[in-house]
Amino acid sequence: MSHAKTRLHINLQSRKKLFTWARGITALVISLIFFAPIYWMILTAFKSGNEAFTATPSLFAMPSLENFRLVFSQNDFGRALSTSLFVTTISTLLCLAVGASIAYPLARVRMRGQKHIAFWILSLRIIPPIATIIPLFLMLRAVGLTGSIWSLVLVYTYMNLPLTIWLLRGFFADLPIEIEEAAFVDGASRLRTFFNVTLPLSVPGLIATGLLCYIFAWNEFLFANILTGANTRTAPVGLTEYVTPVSVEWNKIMAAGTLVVLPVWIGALSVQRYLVRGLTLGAVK
Amino acid sequence: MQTQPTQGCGIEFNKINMIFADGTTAIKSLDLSIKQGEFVVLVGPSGCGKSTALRILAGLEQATGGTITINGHNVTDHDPQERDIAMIFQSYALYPHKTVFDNLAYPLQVRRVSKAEIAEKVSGIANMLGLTPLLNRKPGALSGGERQRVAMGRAMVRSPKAFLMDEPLSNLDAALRVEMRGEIRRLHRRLGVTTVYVTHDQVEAMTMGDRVAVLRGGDLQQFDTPQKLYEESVNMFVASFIGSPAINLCMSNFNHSTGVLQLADNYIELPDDRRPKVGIDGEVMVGIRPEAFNYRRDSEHDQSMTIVPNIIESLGSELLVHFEVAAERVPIEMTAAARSANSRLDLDVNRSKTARFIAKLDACSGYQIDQPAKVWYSTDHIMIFETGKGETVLPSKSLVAIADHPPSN
Repeated sequence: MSHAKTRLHINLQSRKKLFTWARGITALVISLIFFAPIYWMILTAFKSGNEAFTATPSLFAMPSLENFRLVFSQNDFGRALSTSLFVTTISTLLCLAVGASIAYPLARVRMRGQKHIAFWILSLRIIPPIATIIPLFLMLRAVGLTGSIWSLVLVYTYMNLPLTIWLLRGFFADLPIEIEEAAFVDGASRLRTFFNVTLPLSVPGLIATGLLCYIFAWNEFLFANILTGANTRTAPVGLTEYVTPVSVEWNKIMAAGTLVVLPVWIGALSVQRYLVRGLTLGAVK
Repeated sequence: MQTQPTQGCGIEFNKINMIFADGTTAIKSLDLSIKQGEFVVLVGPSGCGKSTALRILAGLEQATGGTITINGHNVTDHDPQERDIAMIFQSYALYPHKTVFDNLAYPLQVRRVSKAEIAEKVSGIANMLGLTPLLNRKPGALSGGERQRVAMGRAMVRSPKAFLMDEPLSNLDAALRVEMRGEIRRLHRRLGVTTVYVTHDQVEAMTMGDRVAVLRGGDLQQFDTPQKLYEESVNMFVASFIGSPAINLCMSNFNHSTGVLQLADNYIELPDDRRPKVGIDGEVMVGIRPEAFNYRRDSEHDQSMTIVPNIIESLGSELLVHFEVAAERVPIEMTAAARSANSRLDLDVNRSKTARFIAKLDACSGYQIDQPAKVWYSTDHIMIFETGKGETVLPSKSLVAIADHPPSN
C-alpha cells in the first residue's frame, strides 16, 4: 500500500517537473520568435557594410560602430531623435495632466449620463487617424502651426487623451473611496485631497498610462510625416530617409532603428513593475 | 498633549430622512439627541441605516430631509471639512503612501499647524497609543490592531468636537476586539469627547455605550441605556436583538379577567403588579431571558417548569441548557432573528408546536442530557408582547436582583 503511494507520489512529482520544463521551453520558443527581428536589427546595425549583404548572413558579427557614426554625421539623426524626445515627453506630460483632471470627476462625481460621457470619450480613439488628418492639417495651417513641433505636441496630446482618460478613470474609480473621505473629514478640500492622496496613490496608474502615451507618440509616423518640415522631422520619419530611389541603406536603417527602440526599451524596463500593476489594477474596468 | 479632557458637543438629528436615488429608504424621520461627552452606540442588523446615519452626521452623505446640529449649530449643509469631527472607518482608511507619523500629522498639516507643534502633538498621541516605535513605518507594514490604533490616533490628534466610529473593531480577531473595546472606552473617559459608534454587534453596543440606539429598517426602535434596553425593551425586536443568548420566545395565552398566563403546560397567575396595564386578552407572545432561569427556588412565588435538556453547552462557570417547550414559536419576522447566522431562530421559519428555549444556569447545577429536571423562574422576569406589532405590554423587572441574591446552601 505505502509502496504504491510512494510510486504515485514520484509519478506526480515527475509529471509536475515535466510540465514545468515544457512550459519553460514553450515560453523560450515564443520569446525567440518575437525577439528574432529585434536581434536581426541590432546585429545588422553593428555589421559593417559588406557583412550585412552577404548571401548567407552570419548570426554573429564583429561589432563596429561605423553605422552609428554615419547615422549621426551624415543624416543628422541626432536632431530627429531629440525632436522625438521633446515632442513625446511634452505631449505625454500634457496628456497626463489634462487626462487626470478629466478622469477624476468622471470617476468620482455622481452625474447624469456619466458612463455615456466616458464611453463617448473612448470612442474618439476608435476614429482612424487617417480620417482626421486632412481637417487637422487645414486647421493647423490656418493657425500657422504646420512645420512646427508644437503642432505635433498638440496632435499627439489629442490622439492619446481619450485612452489616458479611460485608463485613469478606471484607476481612480478603483481607489477605495474611504481614503478620500478620511481626508475630507481630516479637513482637506477636494483639490487638496486630489493632490495629497489620490495622485500619490495613483502613481502606478499614471506611470502605466504615461508609458503607453509615450510609446504611441514615439512610434507615430502618419501625423509626423505630414505635419513636420525638414528641420522638425521626428525619428520615425527620419528612418525613411535611408530608402532612396537609388538604394536601401539597410545598415543605417538598422542602426537608426536600434537608436529609436532604445529609449522606449529602457523606459519600459525601468517602470516594468508599475506597468504590470498599473494595467491590471483598475485600468481594465 | 491630548490628555486633558476636551469638551465634547451635543449632537442632534432632527427628523433626518434619507431616500437613495434608487428609491430605497435608508432612514425614516430619525430624531436623536446626544448629550455632550456621551458615548452613543447605533446598533441594528445590516441595512438598518446605522452607517448611513453616521455618514450623514459626518457630512459624507446629504440627507434628503431634516437637520443636523452640532453644539447648537446647524451643520446640515456643511461639508465634512467644516464640521470639525473625526471619523474612524471600518477599513481604517489610512493613507497607504504616508508613514504612521505623516498619517497622524495630516489633519494638523491641513490646518497649517506649525511643524514644532505637529511633532509635539504626534509624539504625544503616539506615546499614548504605543505607536512610537512604528512612526516611520507605512500602514502596509502594520498589523490589524496597529492600524486600528493609528486610525484612532489620527482622529484624536486634533481634538475634534466628536468622534464618529463606523464598526472600527470588525476587522480584528475576537481577543483583540475585546481588548480594543476596553481601550476605546478608556480613551473616551480620558478625553470626554462625544462619541457616536456604529456596530451590528449587540454585545459591543451593550458593553460600550452610555446609551444605545437600536435601529431597524431605518426606524429608531429604542434609545436607552443598555440596562433599560435589556429589561424594558419597547418591543419584541429590541428584546430579541439585545442579549446573548437571545431571549426565549413563544406564543401564549393571557386571560385578562383572571390574570392567568398560560405558558406551555403551566398556568401562571400573575400578581397584581405584574399584569399588563393595557387591556390585553387572548393570544400574546411571551419572552423570558436565558439568565432569568434558576436551578433552585429563590422565593416562594417562583414558578417551576420541568424540562428535558437536549443540548448542554458548558461555558465553564455556566451551562447553557437547551430544551423544548410545548408552545408555538413566534413569527420570525417580528424578531431580530435575521441578525446573525448563528441565531437559533434562523433555522425555523415555520411556526411549529415546540419552541426552543435556552436557560443559562450555574455550572454546579448538574443538569444532564435527556434527564428531566426542574428550572425555576420568577414572574418578575416574564415579558409579554402583543401579537399585532410585537409591542411590549409587560416589561421585565430588573434581573440584577437575582445576581445580587446570595446563594443559599
